[in-house]
Amino acid sequence: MNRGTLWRFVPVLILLALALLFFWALNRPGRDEVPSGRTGESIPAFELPTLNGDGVRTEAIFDNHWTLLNVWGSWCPTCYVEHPYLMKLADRGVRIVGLNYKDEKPKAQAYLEDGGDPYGVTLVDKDGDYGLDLGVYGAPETWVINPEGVVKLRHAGELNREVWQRKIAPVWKGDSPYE
Amino acid sequence: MNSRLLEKPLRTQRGLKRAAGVPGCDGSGGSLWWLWLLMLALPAMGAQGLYDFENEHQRERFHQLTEQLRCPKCQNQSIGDSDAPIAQDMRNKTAELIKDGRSNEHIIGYFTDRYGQFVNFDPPLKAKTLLLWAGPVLVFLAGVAIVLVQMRRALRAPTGENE
Repeated sequence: MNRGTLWRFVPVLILLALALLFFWALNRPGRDEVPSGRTGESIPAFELPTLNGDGVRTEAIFDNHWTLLNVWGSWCPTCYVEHPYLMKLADRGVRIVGLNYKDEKPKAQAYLEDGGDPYGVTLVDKDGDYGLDLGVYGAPETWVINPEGVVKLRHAGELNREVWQRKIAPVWKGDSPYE
Repeated sequence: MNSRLLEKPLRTQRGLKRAAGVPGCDGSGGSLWWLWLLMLALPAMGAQGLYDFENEHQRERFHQLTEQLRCPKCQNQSIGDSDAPIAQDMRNKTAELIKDGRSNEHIIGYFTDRYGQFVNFDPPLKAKTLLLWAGPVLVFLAGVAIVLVQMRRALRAPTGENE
């Protein structure tokens, strides 16, 4: 085969390479995920009331512990789906702080009475103002916060074992729920 | 508010039937009053109408910014197009920042700080986005190169060099 004939295959090879690239890019896990602009930064300061009405909490709540900040609402269908998994994590010693997002107090309280309360503390963000400041865009979302109060990761959507293994475990330096 | 908007067309329909002389109706056309009301309401339905800007310039900036910002929830829509609650929140914040006298750069920065460059439909030219901007030019130059090579070969072909 001479050089001229080989040249003829170049467009085909380019096309194949592009097809492979697109196939990979469209199928890789996490393609639809929105990166949080807060990753690697301190969580924005806040002063939010708690759901049980025992006062307010600030960002100091994250000091000295690896914590999951779970954004939820009784209006959110996927929150019901992931709730049993959160209960399991809490049961295995994972510290979870709740952020009750754009919800009504009685409904939120009923939600925790029915499904159990995996949150040590639930903060209330009634109008979603803090959510917007943090960069929340829906519920559920789970944020990994390190003991210095720095955002390590945001996961939007259901949290489950697969997500824990794939996304949370690599950044989580607290006690593992799977030992 | 929403339920009231939904009610109006229903009443208008009934009004139309009556005006068209449906049996059992008086046919006076008095209920067409609702139609006029509905037409008056149309300009108020645009999202921008909800904000109380000081001048036309602010309103234009709002329009431009809500087209440029991408909704994180409905990812192929701008926040101006999307009905997602987060798009509503982002529109409110945009209007608030405009009324506070913030610049467009400040407002875009506010959202990219929180949601990343992802929400900017008009990404700035940086090392990370260089390929995005240079890509089309590179592809074009590659095309020109291929065409030139082909032309030279085609010109040489009649001399019998082509096997």
